[in-house]
Amino acid sequence: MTKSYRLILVLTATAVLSGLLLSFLNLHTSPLIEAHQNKVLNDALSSVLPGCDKIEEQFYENKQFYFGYDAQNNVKGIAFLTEGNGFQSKLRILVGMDAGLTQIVKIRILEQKETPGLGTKIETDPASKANPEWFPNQFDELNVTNKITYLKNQAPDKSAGEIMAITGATISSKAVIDIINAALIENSMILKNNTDLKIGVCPAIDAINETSFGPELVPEGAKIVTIDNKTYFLKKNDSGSVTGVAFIASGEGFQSTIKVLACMNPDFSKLLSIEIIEQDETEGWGTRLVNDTTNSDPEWFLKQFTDLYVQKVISTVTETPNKQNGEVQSISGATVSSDAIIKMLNASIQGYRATYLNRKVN
Amino acid sequence: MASKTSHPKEFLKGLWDENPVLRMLLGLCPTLAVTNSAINGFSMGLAVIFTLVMSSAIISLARNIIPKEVRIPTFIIVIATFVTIADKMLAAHVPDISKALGPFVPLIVVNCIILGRQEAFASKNPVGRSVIDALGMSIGFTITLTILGSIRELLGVGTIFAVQIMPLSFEPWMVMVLQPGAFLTLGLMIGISNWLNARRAK
Repeated sequence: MTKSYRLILVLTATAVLSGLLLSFLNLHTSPLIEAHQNKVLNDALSSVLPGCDKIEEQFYENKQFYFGYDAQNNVKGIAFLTEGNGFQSKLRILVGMDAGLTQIVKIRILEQKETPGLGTKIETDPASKANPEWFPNQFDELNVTNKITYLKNQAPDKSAGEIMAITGATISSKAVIDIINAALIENSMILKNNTDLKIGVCPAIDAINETSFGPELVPEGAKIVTIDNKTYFLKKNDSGSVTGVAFIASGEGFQSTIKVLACMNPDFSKLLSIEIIEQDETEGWGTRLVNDTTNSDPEWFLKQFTDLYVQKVISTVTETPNKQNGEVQSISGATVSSDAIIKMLNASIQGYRATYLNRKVN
Repeated sequence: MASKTSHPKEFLKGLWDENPVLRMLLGLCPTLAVTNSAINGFSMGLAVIFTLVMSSAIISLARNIIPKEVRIPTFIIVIATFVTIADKMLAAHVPDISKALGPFVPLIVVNCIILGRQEAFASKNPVGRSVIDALGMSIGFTITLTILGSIRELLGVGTIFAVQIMPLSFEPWMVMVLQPGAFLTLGLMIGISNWLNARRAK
């Protein structure tokens, strides 16, 4: 009997001593470990939400988000942690996004234990001395309005959300993409339901302004967007892709201000049509812009602009014009009025094209 | 059954004659798993040195108190305590190494070298001798793991301790840093050590 007491006593004493020792150790190490984890997270956060004056934690539907604010206290970016399974380990990824969740700013792989030398390239690739982080860096400024997809052995297109997979680590590469895709779908729903952020709306399109031109001028079914103070009317088809972009150009004619609604194809290579929405030119002369009673087709002048290629500037010719070269004929007797239209189109197409094509894609 | 061998001999036996990895084939799980680079093998070795020396000292001190019937659970508790200390200290002070070693530090608990030394040596020998034995064994383990890691890193990445050794034109043998590389290298190392011993015996 005494023997079994001794067994119990020794084992219990060992366990109690061990427990005591470890709890004292924990007092020392846990603040250090926590501080280190916070430092890792904060470093990662400031790298995925660059240029933010302050970063705050927010919880929606038990999901944690980090909101980055600029100096004016506007949400500049949103970051979130997401995790999933890679090839052989759990991947934890911090994703920094713009405020509309349309574009990734930067990602950081916080945790991975993939195959050394292959899967670990999702974090760093020591074989690439120039750019060891080439794989995660591919996500910088990646457009994610559609799903992220991956390619092999061809140059990816960031505006289409494409990533080049790692040779020999396709599964790890794909896992990163799948984890981010899944998180994006879930998180954009949560943010849409719980915040008044314009989720899915590119931030460069800063305001919807329906009053600057009367609603009667807005082409039917068009969506109005403002990019850098320029107003565009976007015509979309049923599947949501933009089929035409219209804007209003204005300039001085012979005796009045002329306003033209110009509709272009989405890559701004050609005019689809123009329509004069305001003019007060000389009756019978300048008004031939819209109604030339001397011609069998009174709208011949405007029709010249239909499907007119404008990669080069629009120019006037006296012989039969070639639409491929952006050529039109002026109206004899109303040269000043017709030249004014060409001049204002040339000027505005350039400006509107540059702004539109350089916008954040949506 | 206190052995009569001298202290230096007690220490040296762990390095070669009774080298835990090459001669006794103990602790092969961490040996194979963590040695994809020299630094990983080396830091695993350091953690084992700490755990083995501390456990051996404590167990040897308490060898007359611990009843035979509960010696294994007692050993395990003592070992687990020191492993936890090593793990937490690594995580708190050298987080990068702790991250690289991953789950292998906690797994030292079940590393048979440590339990084996308690059972075979520390529980039967005085403290001084036990500590020397533990040092010899764990340093032998560390050296073996470091060499194994260096060979794998050299052939698999072209570096040793992250210092470029191979010319840049060298095409890394990726297999060496993967699991098969561990088996290949360890097998060759054991083979070479057997061959050397056989030659010495002649």
